[in-house]
Amino acid sequence: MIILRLALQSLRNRRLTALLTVLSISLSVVMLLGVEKIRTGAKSSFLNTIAGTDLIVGARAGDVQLLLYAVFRIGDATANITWDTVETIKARPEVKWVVPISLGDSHRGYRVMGTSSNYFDHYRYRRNRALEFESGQRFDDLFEAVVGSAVAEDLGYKVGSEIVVAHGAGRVSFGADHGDKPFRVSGILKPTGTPVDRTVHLEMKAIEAIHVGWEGGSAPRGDDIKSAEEVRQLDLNPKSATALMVGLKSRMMTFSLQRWVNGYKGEAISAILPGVAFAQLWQILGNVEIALLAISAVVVFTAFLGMVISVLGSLNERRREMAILRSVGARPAHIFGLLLSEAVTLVLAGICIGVLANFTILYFARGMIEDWTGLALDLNLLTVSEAQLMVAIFVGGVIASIVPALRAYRLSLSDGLTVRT
Amino acid sequence: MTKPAPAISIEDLHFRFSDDGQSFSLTLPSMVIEKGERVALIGPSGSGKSTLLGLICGVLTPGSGKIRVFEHQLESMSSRQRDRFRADTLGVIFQQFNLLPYLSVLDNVVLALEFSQNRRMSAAEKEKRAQALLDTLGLGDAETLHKSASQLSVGQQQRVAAARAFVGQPPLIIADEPTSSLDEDRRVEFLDLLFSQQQQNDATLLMVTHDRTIAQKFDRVLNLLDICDFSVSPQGVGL
Repeated sequence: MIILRLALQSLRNRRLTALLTVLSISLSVVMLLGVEKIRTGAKSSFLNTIAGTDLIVGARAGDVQLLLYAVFRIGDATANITWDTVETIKARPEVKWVVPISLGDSHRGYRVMGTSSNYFDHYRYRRNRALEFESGQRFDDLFEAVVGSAVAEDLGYKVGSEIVVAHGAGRVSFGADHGDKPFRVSGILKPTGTPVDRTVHLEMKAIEAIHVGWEGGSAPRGDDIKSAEEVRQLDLNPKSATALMVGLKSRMMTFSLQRWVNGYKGEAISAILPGVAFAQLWQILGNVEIALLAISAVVVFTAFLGMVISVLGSLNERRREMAILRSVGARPAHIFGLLLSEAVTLVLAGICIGVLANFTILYFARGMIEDWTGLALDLNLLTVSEAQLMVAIFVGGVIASIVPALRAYRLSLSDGLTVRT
Repeated sequence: MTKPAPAISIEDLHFRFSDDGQSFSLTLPSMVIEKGERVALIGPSGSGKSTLLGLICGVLTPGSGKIRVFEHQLESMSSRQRDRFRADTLGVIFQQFNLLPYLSVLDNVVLALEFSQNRRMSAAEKEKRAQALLDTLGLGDAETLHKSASQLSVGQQQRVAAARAFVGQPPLIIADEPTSSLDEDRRVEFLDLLFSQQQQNDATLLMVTHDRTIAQKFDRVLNLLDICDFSVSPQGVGL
């Protein structure tokens, strides 16, 4: 008890050094917790990029590859699914809804995706959030487009802007574009923090429409060129889709339908469970989070090192103090306890202030972070795993504190009542 | 009538300490200090005064021989027991820097009561006793009591140190040149203070000093050169 009181008074006496030490520890804690919050936030927002969809069906490929092109628009499908197959799947008794998507074109570096209007009903992210419009509405006309928030912001689009879709996925269109059939932006989506933000959405039929005459793979010539108005008269029902998002009547049926799809005789298609594929993909990316955490751990270590150095550095001038304490009957163990309590107090104060500061920063910056990055961070003081992390830091701090305390113990033993320097 | 047991009695004491190639050794065949005696310990520097005090205070342990302080046979006690013995039996005053700079004057005096098992009392009682003693020593005004120890003059600091040494009424007071940091007038004043407190408490006083005039005021003067053999090697390195 007396030792703790002495420790506090001694710290108060050296408040500037103590304060700086606490500050460096709390900064390191803020950094560690910040990284941890962002890491878990990024992970959950990544794993929740798509929700509510029970199966994704595409041409037979690896799970991760299918996920990459169907959800992240990274890479390309090996093949398309014929519309017959789409209809067959749609007719399955287990299936509640089907949203086809069609990829392949781009607009100034952003992927263009054909889909049906019910995409905006069924696409869910972050547990169960539906897409919302910042302005405008869904495509209604054949030549209307809905753009994601990043597309709109980057390219300065507003409702009513005209856009031209390029053929293929490159940023530069090599002159092959669908300039004869410009689109009008009908709606702009709110930020979601998912690839939706970076996508231009068209109707499936629009994808067919802009490719009329392109069946050979290059721009149509002469008589093959059809004007936008002429195209409207043609049969634009889609002939294929790149992938399908499938919602089931009951989740219990997921595996049986997956088995059915994977064994489908009509063509080589496969179905994936988004959750499982996401987990696989995250494992590949997981090393980055370990690296981040390792960097934070080094920062914490540095803070403790600073603390040990500051307490150790004060020891020599405090040998007199130890001799006084010994003279009134303090045991070397008391000296050890005094130095340990001082250091542990610094660690504890550093951790508490760090946790509170992190909470405060999060409280005020959360909205901004979500607006800018679409990353939704949970507002809580400490999650269980963060609390465990703090306990680990505390234990580390106590171990670090033992270093100067042990040194003081040895000094007080050898010095006794006289200080030899 | 049997003579009362001495305050300190030392027999065939041998102590050796080595550190970093430096070693001290001290041999003391016999030394007795009676209860209630005032003894001045003199001797040139390097004659082992601090070492001897360390042995009597129980922070150093002899290689062989016997040290008895009242009923405590120090060489056969554990270090824990010796720490308790120091808290209960001794009051110590150093040459200077006696006080913890981060404690108030009052808390510095109370400190002497914190580690003793025999002086268990309430915090209020401790403060009362400390305050009463400081009052006697002319440091009892509220302003001084709560001053930080580092704000005091050297003379005041030594008086606070004396208060701390005496506050638990220990039977033995050990002082290591407590007057050497004071000027001429203050020395005598401080010595009078020590003597009057010593008398009131019926305590034994053992004080190291370099000052012959001060030493003359004691009941007895012990010259360490006469009673013990102290050597340091390598030569020329003193304490």
